[in-house]
Amino acid sequence: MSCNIPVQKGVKEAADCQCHGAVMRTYKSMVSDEPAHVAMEAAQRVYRFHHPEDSLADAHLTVERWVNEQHIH
Amino acid sequence: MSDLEERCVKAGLKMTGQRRTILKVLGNAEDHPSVEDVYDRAKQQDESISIATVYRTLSLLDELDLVIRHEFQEGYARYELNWDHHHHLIDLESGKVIEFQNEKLEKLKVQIAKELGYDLIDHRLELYGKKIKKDKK
Repeated sequence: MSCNIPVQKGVKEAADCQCHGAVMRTYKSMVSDEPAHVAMEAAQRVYRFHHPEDSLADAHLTVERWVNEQHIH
Repeated sequence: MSDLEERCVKAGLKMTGQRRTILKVLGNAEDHPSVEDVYDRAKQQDESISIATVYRTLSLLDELDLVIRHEFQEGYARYELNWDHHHHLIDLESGKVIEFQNEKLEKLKVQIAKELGYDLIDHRLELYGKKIKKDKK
């Protein structure tokens, strides 16, 4: 997998994760064309491809946090 | 000019203020409005719009294939914008999103719904994939 951070439970930091760019690329492309929840689902699938070890709940929390961080900054 | 207005102009429709209002109503609709519905909503934005104008505009949009006319066995038609319909293929490795259109797929979806006893009204489809690596010789 392309991410090299240690396997851990819970939310991952964007800066530590090499898949952050891919996940956000999907979210940004999709949200310009589709409702936010559809873009979020697509971004989570990309994330889960890179982090199959994560539970659905953890993947959801991580991607949600990344998307929210993007809105804040 | 919105994408939709641009499509109308390209299709040969002269854009007037009233037509813009009607397009705006259709663009904002989350349902399939009837002529009466479009008229009621357009009237709130422009009191000068008549139901005849709404009829004429919807007929023109229908002829130009810019709206989809639905017959839900109610005795009158309902309309929705014929958006530039496409699907997405998402590259799982890079996150790249590729838009595509496929006529065979469109026909297949209608056929599947029909075989299950339904008229297809709406759908969404996303494909997720990993780029096929070409063998190095």
